[in-house]
Amino acid sequence: MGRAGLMLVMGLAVAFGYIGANLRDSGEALTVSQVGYYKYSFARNLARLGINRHLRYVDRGATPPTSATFESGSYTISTTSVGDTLTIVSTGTYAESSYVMRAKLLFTPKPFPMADAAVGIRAEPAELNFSGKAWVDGRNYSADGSTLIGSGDKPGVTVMNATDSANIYNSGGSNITGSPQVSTDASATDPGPFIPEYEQSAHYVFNTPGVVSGNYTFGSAPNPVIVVCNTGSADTSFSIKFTGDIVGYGILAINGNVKFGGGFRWYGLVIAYGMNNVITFEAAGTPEIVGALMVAGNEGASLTLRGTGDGGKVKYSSDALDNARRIGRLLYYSVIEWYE
Amino acid sequence: MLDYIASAIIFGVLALSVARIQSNINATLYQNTFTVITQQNAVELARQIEFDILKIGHHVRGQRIFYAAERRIQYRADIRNDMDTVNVQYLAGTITQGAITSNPRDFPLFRQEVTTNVRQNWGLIEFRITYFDSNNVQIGTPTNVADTLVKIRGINVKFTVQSPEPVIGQAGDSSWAGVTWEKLMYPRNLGQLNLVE
Repeated sequence: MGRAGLMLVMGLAVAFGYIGANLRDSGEALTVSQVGYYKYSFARNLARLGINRHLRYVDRGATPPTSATFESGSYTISTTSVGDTLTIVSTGTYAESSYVMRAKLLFTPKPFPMADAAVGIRAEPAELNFSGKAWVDGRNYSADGSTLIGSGDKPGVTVMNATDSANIYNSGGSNITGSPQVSTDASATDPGPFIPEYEQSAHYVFNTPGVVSGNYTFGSAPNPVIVVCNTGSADTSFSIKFTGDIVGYGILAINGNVKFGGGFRWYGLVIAYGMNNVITFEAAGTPEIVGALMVAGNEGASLTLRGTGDGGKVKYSSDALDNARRIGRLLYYSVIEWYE
Repeated sequence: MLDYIASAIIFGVLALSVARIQSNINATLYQNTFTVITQQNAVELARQIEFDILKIGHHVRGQRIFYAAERRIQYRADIRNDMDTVNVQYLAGTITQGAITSNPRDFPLFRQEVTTNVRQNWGLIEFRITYFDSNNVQIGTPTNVADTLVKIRGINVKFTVQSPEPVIGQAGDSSWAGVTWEKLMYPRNLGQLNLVE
């Protein structure tokens, strides 16, 4: 009887042990199922976080990080840029779960004041004075201004009405080259409304009259920038004078009297947006604007180009202008694909 | 003699107790098993729906959603990112079609990709899709009007999954293990430029 009882107890113990193990296994399976979904969701959220964070950096024109960690998880970003298209691949990882997400963005330049001449004057009536050796050339040059492309030539100067056209033709004379030298284009874009955004997005701002010494390189061909020089145009006796050599790429917005005392080469668009604008090329050598120069449509605005050295040139270049459109802060992106 | 009678009674009490315990444990085991199955079904279905819905319109030029209703959605997408856009449809079946299980309320879900129609028995007792425009205003359904469908930006999916067999309680009552899942998703390819067919 004692042996039978012992066997019975042992049998019961084995049965309870088996049942207990099953209970534990099923509880564990529940946890595995829930945690598995959590890990999968968290990895996916990290991948999405990576793309969204990358886009915010792009918004600010900053360099995004390629990886980051968050709450024991991480994401890595890889990008491929082809022309105007940027492909972002984000991999979120949490525990043993990972999730890959892909987004493709199309970068598009914001509307840009399209220059239809080497010098486009949107002010009416307009005044363009040439002093000394300052030349305007509407023939289409390469982006660096070194060679003529042979097509896409523009007028030397465009204005809003025939009266201004005749006046500028007379005052410019042989200083203006183009096809034709001066033309009338009343439908041309006024760069004035673009100025507030350029001031807001400027990479460099000089707004105190005085001397700016030292050499400056503003941007580069693949990374053009916005420079604003604002002396106030009410009194042209106030001026900003750059004494060093200046090389710049992108948009140079000038309000007032700006003198370039050293070497000066600007590749892109120069906008004079004040009322009395004087741009003076003082140095010997060949100061140049390769792209276009535009005068905003302030009524009665004037522009004086002075070349007191060997001469200053404004050369039209559609390529240089196209580069200037691609200033990072003036691009917006559209999501054209999103795979997750 | 008294010892034998007493021991027989004690054995009987013990046997009854063990039987009762075993019955309870069995019920708990069933409950756990069905809960596991139900949760796993819910997780798998949630992952499948997230995978599919978030891809609506990927690589599609033109109309992306063709039919929107509470129990049915038909759309086009490059599901596998292999430049092959396909028509996908989710359609909730009827209770009659779910009569194969003991659960009187469940119905199957049909997922059709191109011409392949797969019947999925998740134990669904509720499946509801609602649609929202860019202002998060709900869009009336059902609709196959392209001008209405093009406004869809958000898709909310709610479903409840129950176990196919009942869990018998201690009082002999039956209950069903159940999981409810709901998510509002914003497929990013709706309303975006899509330059690749």
